[in-house]
Amino acid sequence: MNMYRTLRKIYTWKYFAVNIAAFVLYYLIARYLITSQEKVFLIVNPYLFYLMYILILSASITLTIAIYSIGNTRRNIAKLTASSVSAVTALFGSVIVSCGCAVPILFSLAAIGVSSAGLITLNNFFSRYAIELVVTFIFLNLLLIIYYLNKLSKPSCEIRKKKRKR
Amino acid sequence: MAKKTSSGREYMYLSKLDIILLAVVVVLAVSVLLLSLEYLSLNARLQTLSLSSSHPSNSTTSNSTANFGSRLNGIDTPLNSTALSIINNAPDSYFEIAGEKLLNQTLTDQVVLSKVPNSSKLNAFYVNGKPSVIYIGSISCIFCGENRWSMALALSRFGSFSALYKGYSSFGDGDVPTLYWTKDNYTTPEGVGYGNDYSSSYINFISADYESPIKAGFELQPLTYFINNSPNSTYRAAMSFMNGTNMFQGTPFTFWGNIIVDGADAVVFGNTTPSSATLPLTYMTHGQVLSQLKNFNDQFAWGEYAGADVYISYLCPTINNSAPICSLPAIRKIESIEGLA
Repeated sequence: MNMYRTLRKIYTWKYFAVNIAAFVLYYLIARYLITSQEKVFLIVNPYLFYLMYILILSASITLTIAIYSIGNTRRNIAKLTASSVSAVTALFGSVIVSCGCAVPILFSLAAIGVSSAGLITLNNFFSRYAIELVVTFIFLNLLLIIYYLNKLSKPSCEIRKKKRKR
Repeated sequence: MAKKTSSGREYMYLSKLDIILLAVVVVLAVSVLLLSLEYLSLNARLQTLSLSSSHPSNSTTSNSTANFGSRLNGIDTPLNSTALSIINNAPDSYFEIAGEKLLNQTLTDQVVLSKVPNSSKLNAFYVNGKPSVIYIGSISCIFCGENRWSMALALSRFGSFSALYKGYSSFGDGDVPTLYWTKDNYTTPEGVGYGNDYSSSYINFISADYESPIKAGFELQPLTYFINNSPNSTYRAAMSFMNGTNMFQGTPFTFWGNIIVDGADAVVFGNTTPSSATLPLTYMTHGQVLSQLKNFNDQFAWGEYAGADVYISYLCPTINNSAPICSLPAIRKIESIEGLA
């Protein structure tokens, strides 16, 4: 119940708008990454299609909590971890869901010395375990959301009270 | 949220944000539930279909086919003469009309039309005095599966196929009906199907598809695998040539005369560019695809022919525009835009 109260404290209209903005941002980045891989915005696997949206939603909630934490808590505990995990899972997830026949983004790793054979092996791995990887990313975000809501519910990290003007 | 009334009693009320948060939770829960149900019904459907499908004689074991693609109907059987004729004897006017539609930007499917970068222009690969079209793909690949229709149409303008085979991309990669260049082994753990039944006085067609069970997603091996397993010196040289370009970024990976193409030149999965995982092509039979190519009255057919036009425009300059198709006005205009004229 404490976590829900904290969540409710965070989700004022302002941070609800921040969440929507984060969702749109992640969606646009994912769309760009997938389109640049396959020429069209196409996720062939129907499960991955829906999981992608769930991943973006969970990552956007994580990012919203991170942004909130920066400005409103005594300790900015979620500043680095939550924001970076949120961004990495959303971006990496976008690349993974589009792995398959055409993978120019993945093959750009050749520029840093990864061999063609290694990249094909990596592509096969991502294609084969895409659902499992994306589900893992979703759970990672959910765990972070629960973890930070729990932390933010404790007195040591409590949410600052707004100073009243005299 | 709790709120006190004027009489001091507490009651719960839901604000708009509470409702929105609850709605998000409900949507997530319903999505997970629907996905689970769909996954379970899919597995049940797979079991049923794998029992009812008729398997061709080249299946290795009966047990190994249990989880294969949802459709195996007619897989690896050659097209009959009527169906083959639709590919081999497509009217040039279809290519012209589709090319004009591509140039007028009235196609709803994605067909690549842009200037060819200098880095994609290489020396032609000659065998027996003729330049070559080299194709490296994978039978599990959806984009190869979709694009082979355009490739077959393009190649038919420079020669003819004495046989083409019914195939499908992998179940986890669209399960789209396609053409196989040769009788591919869709049950082997790994292998390559080299060769085809194509002949031409203008060009050679050198093709290799990576073979794997078409039950999950996309699978491929490094290009060195294609080199090492080549059936003869010509194929070994062609595969080495493709590997040596260092331009591989996925399949299909093709070479048309002297233009290297990384990926499909068109994405045509139905009468419009798909915006979800539901692809119309997935639910079509080979007969329906061929019928649309023959009737030539919808976006799908125009898109496939336009994709063929782009490949034709890549190839024509290498043979000095000597094939009749190269003189079509639309092909000349496409070549001009690509910087090849």
